[in-house]
Amino acid sequence: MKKNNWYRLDNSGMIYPMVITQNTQSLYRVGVKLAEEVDPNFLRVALNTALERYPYFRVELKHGFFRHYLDENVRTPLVEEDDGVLLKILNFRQNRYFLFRLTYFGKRIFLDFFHGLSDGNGAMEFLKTILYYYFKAKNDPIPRGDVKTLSTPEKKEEVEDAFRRYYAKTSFKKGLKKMASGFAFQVRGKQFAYEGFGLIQGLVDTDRLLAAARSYKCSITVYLAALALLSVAKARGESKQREDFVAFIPVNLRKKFPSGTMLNFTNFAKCSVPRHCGLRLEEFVSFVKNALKEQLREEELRLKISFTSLMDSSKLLRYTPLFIKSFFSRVGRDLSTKTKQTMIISNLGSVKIDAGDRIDHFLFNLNVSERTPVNLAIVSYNNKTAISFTRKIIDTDIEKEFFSTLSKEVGEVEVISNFREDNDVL
Amino acid sequence: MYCRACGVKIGCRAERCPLCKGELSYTPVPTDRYIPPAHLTEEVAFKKGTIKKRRTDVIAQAYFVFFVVTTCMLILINIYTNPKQLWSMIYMVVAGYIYYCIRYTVIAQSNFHARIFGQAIVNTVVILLLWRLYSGPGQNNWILITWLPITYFLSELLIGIYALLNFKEARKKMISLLILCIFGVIPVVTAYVADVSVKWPAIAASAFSGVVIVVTLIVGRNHLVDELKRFFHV
Repeated sequence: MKKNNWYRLDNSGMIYPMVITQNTQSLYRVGVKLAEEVDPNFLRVALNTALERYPYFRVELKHGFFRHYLDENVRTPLVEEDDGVLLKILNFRQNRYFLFRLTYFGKRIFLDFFHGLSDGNGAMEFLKTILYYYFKAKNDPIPRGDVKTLSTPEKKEEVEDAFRRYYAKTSFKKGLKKMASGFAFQVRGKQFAYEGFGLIQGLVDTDRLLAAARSYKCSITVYLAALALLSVAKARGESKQREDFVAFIPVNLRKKFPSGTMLNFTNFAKCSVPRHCGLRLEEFVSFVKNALKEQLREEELRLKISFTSLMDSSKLLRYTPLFIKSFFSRVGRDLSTKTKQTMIISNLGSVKIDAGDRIDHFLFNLNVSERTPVNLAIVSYNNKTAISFTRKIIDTDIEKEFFSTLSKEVGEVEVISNFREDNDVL
Repeated sequence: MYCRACGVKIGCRAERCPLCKGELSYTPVPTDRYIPPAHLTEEVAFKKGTIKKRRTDVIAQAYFVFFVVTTCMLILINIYTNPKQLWSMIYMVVAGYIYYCIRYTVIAQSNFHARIFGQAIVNTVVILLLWRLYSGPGQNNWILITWLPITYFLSELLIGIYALLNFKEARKKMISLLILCIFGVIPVVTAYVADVSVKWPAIAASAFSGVVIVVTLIVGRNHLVDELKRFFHV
């Protein structure tokens, strides 16, 4: 019998396993388009080697009495051709109990990750290591740069719960007041009947995008968030809903609170735009920019970190059996019919890997839910920015509005789609 | 390929614009130049997904509806015809048990040992319910004489074999096995409480549980503490 390693779930990640059902999981996808067709044999070798460097991803989810935990998984992970169903539910048994899925199709490699395991940054680091070993296996090695490889020593802080590290005792009421927010404008529409989401991805020149953002004196994230909310406002302007347009923007806390953790360490910034403001991009940019600036203040982030650590800090919650916590988490989620965010807009930033022309671009797709059926994810590499809309509804009016405006502002936008709407018939 | 209406270039093989569903052009602006057909140049970005509802889910849902409807009907018939003898409860217990089997054993995603463990516990509940609902003097003790001991004997044996076959991961099955073995006293306790005519199967099953506990503790005593630590960590 082998003595196995096990890991605690971090404070942010522990909520995700509690709300898993047969039909919903918190998955997201990072991926890459290579210059050449993917060779699955080299990919298998690369994944197995990369997992040696990331033992905390070679895990399966287990139920404890008080909380879930991650237990070492000694099975060999699968590498299969993508079946075209975006962010398909992870069947743990079929997936050999791994909490991620590596697939490929043509020139693309997709890595679907369970959010309880890590956030987008952790998954992207893992993907970079896989790519490093993929090219090495192909006998076409790339410079190591800051990619984590077997020769990079594994640091203890990679598996630290950074929320615990930066936790400071705070008033529960104060935190709740800050975190609790009103409801948001909800994108409605006929939803896909079966699993799999719609994807429309636009590829733009990063320099031009940056220039466009600079012309509004804001960052790319603020610019695209404002444009996305404006697109919702324009496409769904006739709706009778009175709620504000709200974008939830995940903030990588590692930038403000130094940590080398590979687990979850992000929090959301809530950016609202009043429902009846003028339909001008300048106005939307101004609202989003001010809201983001306000939410990125250190005190604000500390408060959020402390509130996220509630599961750990509250003795009552810590010693409540898991099945009770899971039950109330699910009930809480199911009872609410309204949404707190119109859209989640996540920017992973620029991926740093010195692969030259071997890699065309990276991609990043977010999960969507019934109440937040359209989300936006952004990632850049080598002067190409991939802007991906994932949707659970059939209509593409928001995307149309978004990319039409974007093409006028930044020039050529190359759009691809998985044409999910064509498949929603049995 | 371009969509002139949306002003975007289409980067994958497409019959129409993914945004507006409008027709595509070979150039962003009208031209007389020859353009090769798109199917020769454009890349297929994503596989055409085969999306369908999982058949097992459909079966489980259909069975659940059938179970609820028939149970309600039988309870009503039972109440109107012979309210003193609740025979419809037997149907409810058995049909409910079959639903459990489909939903949580056949199509469940959990590990093999977890499913066997669940089966053993639910089996026990069903057996005891049936016995209480439908037993008279000398009647149906066969449920307690055979079914209950066999449940525990088989479950422990299956988990044990599974643990041996996956010896590297045997540690992970240890807690399920031990808890099940502790529950293994149920057959012998019920045999004496119900005063069944043949007691040896229950005694044998409980003795087997005891042996498994001893063997497990001898083989994996070091791992057991670790396993308990992680199971009860807060």
